[in-house]
Amino acid sequence: MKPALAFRQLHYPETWQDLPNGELIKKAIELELAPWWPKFFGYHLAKLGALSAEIAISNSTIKHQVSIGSANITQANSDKYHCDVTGSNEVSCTEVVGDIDDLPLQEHSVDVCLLSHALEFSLDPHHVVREANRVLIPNGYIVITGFNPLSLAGLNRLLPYRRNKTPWNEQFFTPMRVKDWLHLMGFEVIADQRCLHSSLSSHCADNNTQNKWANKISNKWHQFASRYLPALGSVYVIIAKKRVLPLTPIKPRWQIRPEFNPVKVPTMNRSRKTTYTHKKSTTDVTK
Amino acid sequence: MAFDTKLMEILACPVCKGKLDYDKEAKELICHFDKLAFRIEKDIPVLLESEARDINASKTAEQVS
Repeated sequence: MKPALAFRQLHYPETWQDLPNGELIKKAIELELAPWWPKFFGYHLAKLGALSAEIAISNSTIKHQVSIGSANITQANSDKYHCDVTGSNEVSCTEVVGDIDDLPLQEHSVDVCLLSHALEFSLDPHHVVREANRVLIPNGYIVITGFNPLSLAGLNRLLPYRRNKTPWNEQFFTPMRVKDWLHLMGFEVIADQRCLHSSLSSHCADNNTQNKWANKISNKWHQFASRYLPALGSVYVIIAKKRVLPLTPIKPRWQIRPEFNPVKVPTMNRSRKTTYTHKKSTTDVTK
Repeated sequence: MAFDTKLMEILACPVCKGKLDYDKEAKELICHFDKLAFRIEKDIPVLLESEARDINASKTAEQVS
């Protein structure tokens, strides 16, 4: 297995448009996560990375949302966020310029962390997960999305001319591997969903307008795969809950002592014995 | 839109993960432990170690001048 640490220059996408079919992926993720947002409760929601910052969260019960990204990203998108703020009622979205490797957040401060396609495009994915774990409060939720390598989109890596293009030149992590990391950090994986059963290449997007037959076939395939091959979705969404063992002292239970106990005085016995033998030995000597 | 004061509950210094102080007049977030000041640009705090201003260095510069 390849190590998760990336020893190369990363091309971090600034918006969803930088990825092929980015808008499609974003909408699919929003649809997939829509039933989950009302279930999360708390005070602060952190969106880590530029891609997660763009994901619209409309029906959340958490009123304070913070998106953390690098400098040029947040400034470019700042107008868009303000539009969102006015559109949704009482939800305040704020931006912070920061590094997702070094989160400028306090320990146990955030209730929900959203890591949307952040692991693929980060230098040290282990550290990103560890930082998210540090920031989350106990019983907080982490939401991770990413590309599934065991899918049609993942198969694109085998094509030499596609291997050098944006999402495929990065390392994809299987959902199993990500879940294993989460288990190690002490998370309880609540849901693992897959969506978008397509190859996600730019070529497939053109089909919608050009070729009627190809469009039909892709629709059929999508229906078939989502019903019978749900594990092969191109995008995975993992929702996990942080579990922490509380330190509760366990009191000793009261026990009734049995009334008749043999008297245990081994030391006295031994001492008597030794004195006896000692005496004996001395008498022997005198003899 | 003013600087979001709710953020102060959760924000921390990216270097030492300690609490930050908000300087309203200078529009800066100050970490007293690391002696770093992070500027707030258009109500967006820039919490990057590379962008931070060293308080000690600026003080000594003032004393010299």
